Parts: sequence; structure tokens; C-alpha cells
Amino acid sequence: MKKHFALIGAPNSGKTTLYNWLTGSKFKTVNYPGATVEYARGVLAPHLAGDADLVLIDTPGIYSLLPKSLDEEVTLKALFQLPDVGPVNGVVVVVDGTQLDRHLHLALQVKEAGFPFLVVVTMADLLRREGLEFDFDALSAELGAKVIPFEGLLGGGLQALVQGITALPSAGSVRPPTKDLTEIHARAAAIARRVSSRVENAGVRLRRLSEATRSLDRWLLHPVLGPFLFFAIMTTLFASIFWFAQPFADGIDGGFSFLANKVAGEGEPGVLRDFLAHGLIASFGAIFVFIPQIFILFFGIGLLESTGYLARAATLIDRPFSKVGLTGRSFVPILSGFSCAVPAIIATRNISSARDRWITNFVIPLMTCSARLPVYALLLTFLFQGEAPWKAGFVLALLYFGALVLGGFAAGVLNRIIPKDAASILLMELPLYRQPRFRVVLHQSLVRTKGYIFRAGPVILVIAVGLWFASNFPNYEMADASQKLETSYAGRAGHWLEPIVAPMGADWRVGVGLLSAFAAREVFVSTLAVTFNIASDDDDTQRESLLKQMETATRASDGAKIFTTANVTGLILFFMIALQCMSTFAVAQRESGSWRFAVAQLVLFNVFAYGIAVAVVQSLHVFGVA
Amino acid sequence: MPEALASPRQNLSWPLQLSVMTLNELKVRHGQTVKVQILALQGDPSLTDRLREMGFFEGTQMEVAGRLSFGGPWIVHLGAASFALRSEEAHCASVKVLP
Repeated sequence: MKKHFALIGAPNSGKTTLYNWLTGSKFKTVNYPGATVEYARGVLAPHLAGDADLVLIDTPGIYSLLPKSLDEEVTLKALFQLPDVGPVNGVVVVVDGTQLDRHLHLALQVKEAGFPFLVVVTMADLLRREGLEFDFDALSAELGAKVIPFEGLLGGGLQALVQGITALPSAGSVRPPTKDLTEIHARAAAIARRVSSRVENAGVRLRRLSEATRSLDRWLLHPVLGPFLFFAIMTTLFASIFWFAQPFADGIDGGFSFLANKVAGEGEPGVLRDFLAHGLIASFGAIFVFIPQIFILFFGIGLLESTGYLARAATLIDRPFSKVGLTGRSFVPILSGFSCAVPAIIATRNISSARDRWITNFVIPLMTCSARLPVYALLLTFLFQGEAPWKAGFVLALLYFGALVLGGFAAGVLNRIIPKDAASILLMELPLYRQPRFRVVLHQSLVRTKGYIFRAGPVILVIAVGLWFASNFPNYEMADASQKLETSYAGRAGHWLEPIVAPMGADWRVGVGLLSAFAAREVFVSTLAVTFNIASDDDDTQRESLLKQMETATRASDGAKIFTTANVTGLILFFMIALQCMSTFAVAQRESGSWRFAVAQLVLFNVFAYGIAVAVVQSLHVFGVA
Repeated sequence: MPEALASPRQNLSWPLQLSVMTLNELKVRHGQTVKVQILALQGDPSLTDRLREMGFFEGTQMEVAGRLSFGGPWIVHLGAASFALRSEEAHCASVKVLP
């Protein structure tokens, strides 16, 4: 029978790194407290396992066995009530070697709870490099458990650890820990003192490890310069999405256009060739052209995560956030919301106050997720055609900033409505700065981008097939392309939608695009590519072709231009606010445990988005903006 | 002021009242740190419990590096670790400035 062992420890103590070494997994390790919010199970890697049949569980960080937030409850449940297992067979307490006096009480609590356990001391390489040779034999004797130093960089100590785990005695009965931490912490501090007693000036030398971090923090957390640098870092991140990606996007666009033209020019004309060139390749090309931007976003966030700056950013933003009922701890989920709302909502488990968590969850879908990026990029490229690229980049940065302001406004309203509950806590440990490991960040960004492609790919495929069929039949043979589209199934359905979208300045084709965006926001772009029948001109790339079509597109009913400045602004605002992502809806329901919350969010955001878009378009028309 | 946030000095004798303050009342110039010792933790138990779990105990010595602008969080160092504390959290710690 498989035996289950949980890895527990304070946030940022190195659990996930150890878990990855033990299981051969490649879970993301982040230099930010509270990055793991769900437990993960994995079997011991074959080269370490031998005859042992072990399952290891990586848990969210905890400071004690008395949980204060949802992620800490996850750890406690993993220890005492692991599904299909009950209490785990043993515990590996992961202790940061540079923080022994603060982390050892967790080991004492585990001992008191009755779990068989051993202690892994991380940062062993750092301690050795600084000549801090702690007496781990004495520590082992004090705790009555094996103590194993572990080197995160090279994985030193793994064999001893596996031997230690397999040698742990069987678990007896376990009991919840006592609630008084004072006595247990005093014991832990006394043990830490004894263990470090043979090291001269241990306290001073340990403090020296943080000197570089403290020096950097004098600038990055400076009362005046700190917020300024924060704003500069964030602006650079979001603006660079547009600037750096352009040459790569042009390359991809050219590649897909070449492919579409090649397919269109080869073999016998027919339904299949037409579908491949103008349906499938056009749809994928319209989305994949934005992959460089999405990759740059993931890479930028990954760099910030790995340096340790995110915890500082959370600290810097805490005061303004607190004014609207959020906390600095909301910052990282909200920032994650800029790549995808789904993991961002799960990341709010790190927030201890239910009220703060609720408000954060509510506003996360307003953040500019990566699925909105293709839509913004297309519409901004259209608005700023022939102008300096920095202008579109600047407006994109404004849209990101606008999402934050809008989120802040929504949070502020909720903050006034929802009664206050328990204290809102920041109390955040600021990890040591680390040099980003570019290879790791690059790998993780590629994995995330691949995830994006695999998530969006099937949806694009299904929509592309359905939409191409709907926009070409039943009159496939009709010579006049616009007549064919008008009388197609999609055209008929679109006309039904037109009265709803007309106040936004849109026609039925845009309406079909908006509807398809509920499958995935980015599908809006590929839908336009199909409904506007792009790649008709062999000299243009697909994007140029779509932009040209958008420039000349008119509404059949009144001949008015569809993509005017006012209408495109309305569309951008609609996408900024609307909640179209069904995965977000599902995870919001699961994390809040409330259908009412999820449905209210869905209805409110979409009705509000529509109302704002219509109001802005109509107002701009009144003021003479075309 | 709620009872939980009452001044930590109120039960102390006069001479002691002068040297004891909450962490929130400390004055720290930018670029300098002030060494303090925690004398007591009081106030909302959800805050004091969390402070203890993270290593802030009565008798613990720490360095205070000041606070962020506009009443933002306090930055304190405990050994090699650094922490950010909101003013509500800092108010829970009565401290004595060490020479």
C-alpha cells in the first residue's frame, strides 16, 4: 500500500523546490510568500524510489498548525484528512536554515500532534558558504527526529532524505495541536540558540545574509522613490508587451499569410481548400500573431516573481488598496489576473479575511487577461494605423492602468456595501532578493504560453469550423461574396443580433464576433477574420487584409461605417469590462462556493459593459467624433 | 478608540510610560534603523496570534526601518528576515527603544 508523506513549512522555505527534486516535477517555484495555494501529490521519482512506494504532498506554506487563511486550511486538511487516506503517514517539516529560530516551532507542533516526522533544513548550501555550521546532530537529539540538510540548487541530501522517510515509524493516533504558541516558541528559540551556539556571532552573520536585500530595499521601498519605481516597473512591463513583440508578430503574420496563399493557390478549387485557407489558417493566424505579446507578458511577470520584488510591490500598494477594501495581499492575485483570471482567483486563498478575498475575487475578472490582448492589439492597431508604435503601446498601458482603476472603483463600491468582518491582515514576510534564473523563467513562460495555445487552440478550431460553415452555407456557390455572407446561416443569426449591438455602432458580423467571444475572448479576432473573409488579396498579409476590410466595412442597413473611432472605442470598453470567460465563471463559483456570486458577477459585468459601451459611443457621436 | 486598540501605556507607571510606545508611534528617519524590543502584544487576537506565529514575541529584539509613504506599512527586520506590517498590526506591539 502506498504511504503518503506531507511536506510542510513556512511560506518560501523551499518546499516546492524540494518537492520538485523528489518527484521530478517542474512545479513553479516563486520568490513570494503564499505562492502555493493548493496541495499537489506526486510519487517519488524512479531514480530515488528503489522499492519504496511513496506519495509526496506539497502543501501551501503555514507558520503554525493553527490556520488563518484558506490556503493554510488546505495544508491542515492535507495533514489530518487527506482524501481516501485520512491522516498522512508522516510529515517532512521543511525549515529555512537561515530562520531556524522562527521556523522550528512548526516541527515541535508536528511532534506534539503525534505525526512521525523528520526535519529538512534548506539553504544548506548558503549556510555552508557563509561558514555557518550549525549542530544538526544536537538539533536531531532535541527534536527526537532525523534532521537532513538540503541544497536546493544541486539537490544535495535527497538520498538521505528518502532513507529517512522510509525509516519513519508507523503513525499512531494524531491530535490537533494546542493553541498556546508562547511556550512552544520559547522552546523552539532555546533549541535554535543551542544549535547555533558553537557558531561565533551567528546572529550577526545571519543578518549579513540579508545586507544586500536591505540595501536594495532602501531604494525600492523608499517613501518617495519606491512608489515611483513601482509605477515605472509596471508601466515598462505592460508597455513593452506592445513594443518588443512587433517584429515577432510580423514574422508570424507573414508565415500564416504565406501558408494561406500557398494553400489557396494549390490544387483544385473546392470547399476543403477554401475552408483550409480562409477558415482554418485565417482563424489560427489571427490568434497566433499575438503569441509574442502573450509570451512577453508571462516572461515579465515571471521575472518579477523570481526576484522577490512582488512581495515589495504588494507592500507598496497596500495603502492605496486598503482605501478600497483590498489589501497588499490582493496585489499578486490581481497581477496574475493580467495573465489569466482562473489561477488568479485561486491565488486569493492566501488572503485571510473572507471579505477581502470576496472583494478581490469580484474585481479580478476586470483585469486585462491575456485573452483580451489579441482583441486590444487588433483594435489599437486599427486605431493607430500609420502612426508611431509608441502611441498604441501607450494606450495599451493606459488600458492596463484603466483596468486597475476600474477594479479599484468596483472594490471601493463593494467596500462601502459589505459589512466589515475580522481584521484585514497584511503582515507579510519580504523574501531575500534573488537573481532571476533566466532559463527557469524562460522555460516557465514557454510552458504558460503553450498552455495558452492548447487552451485556446481547440476552441478556435471548433469555432473556425462552425463559423466558416455557417458563413458559407447554404449558398456556397453564390458568386457575390457579400451576398453569400448576408444570406448565410451566420448572416441570418447575426441579423437577429443586430438590433442589440447596433447602439454600439456594430453590425451583425461584429455581433457574431461578440457572441463567439463568450467561448474565449480572443476568438473575437478570428471570428472577424472569417466573417470579413480576409486573405482575399494575395499581396497583403492576413492582418493587413483584415485591417483593410475593417477600414471599409459598412453596415448594410444604413451604409454607416462600422469601425469608426467612436465605435472601436466602444468595443474596447466593452471588452475591458465584460465577463465573457466561462472558465472564470466556473472557478469563481467554485472558490466562492456560491452560484449567486458567480451569476451576479456574470450579469453585472456584461450589462454594465454593454451600457458603458453604448453610452460612450453615443456620447462621442453627439460630440462629433465619428 | 476600541478597547482592543487602547494605549499600551495606560497601565504603566509614569517613568515607564515615557520609554514605552507602540511600534506605530515610533519615529524613524529614512535610511536609519531603530532597534527595539517587544514588551507586549495586545489587541485583536487574530493579529497578535499571527504576529507570534511569525516570530514576534515578547522579548524579541528587532530593527525598524521605517514606514512607507502616506501611512503605508512598517518595514521591520527580525534577524535575517524582513516583514511589512500595517499600522493596525504595528499598533499591537508595545516596544521599548534600545540604545
